[in-house]
Amino acid sequence: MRRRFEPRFWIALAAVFVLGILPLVLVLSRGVSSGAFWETVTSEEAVDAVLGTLQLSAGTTLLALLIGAPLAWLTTRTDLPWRGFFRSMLTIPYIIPPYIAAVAWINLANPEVGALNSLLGKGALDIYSMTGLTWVMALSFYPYVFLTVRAALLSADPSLEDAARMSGARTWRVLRDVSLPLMRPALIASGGLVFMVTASAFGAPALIGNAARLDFLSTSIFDALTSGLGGMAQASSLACVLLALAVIPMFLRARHHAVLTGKASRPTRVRLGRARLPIHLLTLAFVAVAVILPAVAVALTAFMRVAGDFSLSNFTLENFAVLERSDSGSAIWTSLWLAAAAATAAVVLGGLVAFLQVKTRRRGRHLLATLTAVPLAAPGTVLALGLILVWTTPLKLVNTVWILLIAYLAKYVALASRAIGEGLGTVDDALPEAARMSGAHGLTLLRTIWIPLVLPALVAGWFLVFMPCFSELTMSVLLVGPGVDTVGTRLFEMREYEAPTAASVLATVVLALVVVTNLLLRLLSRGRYGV
Amino acid sequence: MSSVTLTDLHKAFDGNPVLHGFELEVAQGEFVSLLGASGCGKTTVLRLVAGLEEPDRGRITVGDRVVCDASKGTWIPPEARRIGMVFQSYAVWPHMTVLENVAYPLKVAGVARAEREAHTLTILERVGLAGLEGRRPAQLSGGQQQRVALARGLIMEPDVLLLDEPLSNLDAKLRIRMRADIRRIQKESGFTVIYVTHDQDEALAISDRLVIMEEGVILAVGSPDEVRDHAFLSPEAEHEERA
Ligand SMILES: Nc1ncnc2c1ncn2[C@@H]1O[C@H](COP(=O)(O)OP(=O)(O)O)[C@@H](O)[C@H]1O
Ligand SMILES: [Mg+2]
Repeated sequence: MRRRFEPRFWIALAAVFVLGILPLVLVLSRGVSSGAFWETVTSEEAVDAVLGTLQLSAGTTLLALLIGAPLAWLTTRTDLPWRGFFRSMLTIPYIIPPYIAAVAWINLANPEVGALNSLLGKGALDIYSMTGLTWVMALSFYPYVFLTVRAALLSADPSLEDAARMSGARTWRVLRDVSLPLMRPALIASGGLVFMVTASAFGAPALIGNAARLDFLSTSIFDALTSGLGGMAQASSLACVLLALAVIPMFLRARHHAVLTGKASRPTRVRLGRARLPIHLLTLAFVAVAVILPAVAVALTAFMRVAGDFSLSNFTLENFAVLERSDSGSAIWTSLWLAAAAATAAVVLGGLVAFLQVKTRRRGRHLLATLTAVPLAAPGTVLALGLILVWTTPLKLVNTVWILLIAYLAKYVALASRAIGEGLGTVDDALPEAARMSGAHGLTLLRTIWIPLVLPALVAGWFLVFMPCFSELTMSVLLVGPGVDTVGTRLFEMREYEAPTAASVLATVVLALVVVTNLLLRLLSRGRYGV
Repeated sequence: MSSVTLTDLHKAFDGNPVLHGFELEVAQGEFVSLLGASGCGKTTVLRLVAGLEEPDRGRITVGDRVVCDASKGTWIPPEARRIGMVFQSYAVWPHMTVLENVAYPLKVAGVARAEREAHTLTILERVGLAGLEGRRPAQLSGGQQQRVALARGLIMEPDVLLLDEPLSNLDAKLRIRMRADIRRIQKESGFTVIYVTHDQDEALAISDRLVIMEEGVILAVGSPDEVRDHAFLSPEAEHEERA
């Protein structure tokens, strides 16, 4: 390859750096260089927050593993009935923002008016507790484990387990001696991911934790920043600690057993025998409680005058008037067009990054791809802090919609670049080369060859960015105050001011939109993306 | 040591029949090969004998024990059949050493550690793996992994050993050597073997008797000498005749 100055590479690198890397660097340097760093991070509140985050993340990881791994095994290796149905249902929480799940479970298990407490007796369940929050988080994040372990089991040669049976081992023994070791790398990887996303999460911990007087790093960062004077230094110091915590699991690496050659045969289904019916019912019950119940709770509460009262006269359409009130109505529009704009920008920038990585052999292309992925892994609170540091002076973008656009693009561009990269990988180099020999170059080549060839990947990338942006909460509540409203910030305020029915209306809108967009994505990508 | 009798076996996958009324008798200590094109149902027969699949209809007897009778609901699970199996993909466990892999059946059976290790070492010697007991499978060649799988199938001294295209992933020279080794070990120990292959030279060289299959049906059964000149064993000859 000819060495030459390539503006497109440097433009992409500069964009990725300014958008996502510079903010993190500034937070780190601001946090560590702050004179009060040690004082801040060793203060009683900070230690409480760290312990809270560790406890929540560890508990959530453990529970998510205990839920996700057995379900993965049951749906891939046994004769459990309705495996396909379970696979679809159990994946749904993957696309629903955890704070929506929090709203749902607050509706269900609020000690005063929770629907379940109306049934079981007042105060029977208390969602405002560490246990309650861990439950909500685990139900949101177990699909990471479920999907990763399923993929590992589906790609593992089932004869490995058959061979153990032929050696005389019974079901449990086979599980312990062969299946579990085969799943180990997937368990460690997905467990680490759950730990990371839980430590980074803000919405659900804030909605539930505030009332429960539980402190976490992410919520403390928010509190410090909104407390005013000197808050930025304190928030940055805490952000350094959170960043360190969220990164720990990345260093957990399972010793990887080389996959041995051999044609994978079809799995022998373990006969569950007498346990089949009880396990089937148990799985059904889990789907009902973990997936269907919260969605129903949100949707029903949206139609109730008073949350938790199931008498027919209590149902109404009045709540939806909230959508006509200018703030909520405009919040939905703002979120829609912001998400669309961010998704479009992400397809452009992500497309460029993906092209450079997949279709050129330029030095530094892998570095570019790695830098693009960093903000996606970084906690939203930390990234938002950094964006405030970058965009307050001289450009006064904080508290405007533009900072949100920047934030969404910075965080989620990696989703687009990954999808487009996969699409580009399948394009035979001879196709564009033939077009060049026909005289096409530059924009003509882009318009007539590249874009048509990778259109499905571009569309998938667009949707993959659109979905999390529409419901984004963590960065939004930090970056804009009153005056600029998105779905996430409105919902957050409503919850804070105890308006459960109005919050449920918005949550229903988010749910409906997420489900519809996901279906659309699934149709357009012919089942490749979406759940 | 046991005979194996398959009576009127029926098996369909998702409504597609693979076996319809398959019958076979393998005498005690006999070495029988199932020979046929890929997809004709050879593996299905083995997996039925092993108990890794259930027949829709039919009966399987090993020695004097009925291990499966669909009409009576008799079912002995694979782990209780005392049948050894060598898989086409070797199925050597990547997270265990060679020793741990081969000793596993003894471990499951509750044999004390010292005894099972001593026994394992003698078996490893017999299959030509002496000195490699501490290795991980990833550090072994294809032929060596194949021997590990064979040793693991032999160690519990099964009445019947099932081999599913055990040599198909090896190069030609190694294939011929392993073939001889398998036959030698079988003659020494006298267990019954059902051997699946789609390589007719291999089947002719190794077997007491051949079963020639096509689409789930038996076309011919006989000793190598009896079936050697069978038309479908040499499609080239058939071609020439027609021409
Ligand atoms: N678990 C299964 N599910 C569906 N079809 C199967 C399964 N196992 C085997 N088959 C089908 O049964 C037929 C015979 O397969 P098999 O016994 O593996 O053939 P062979 O070992 O002779 O190549 C093939 O058409 C195969 O696709
Ligand atoms: Mg086969």
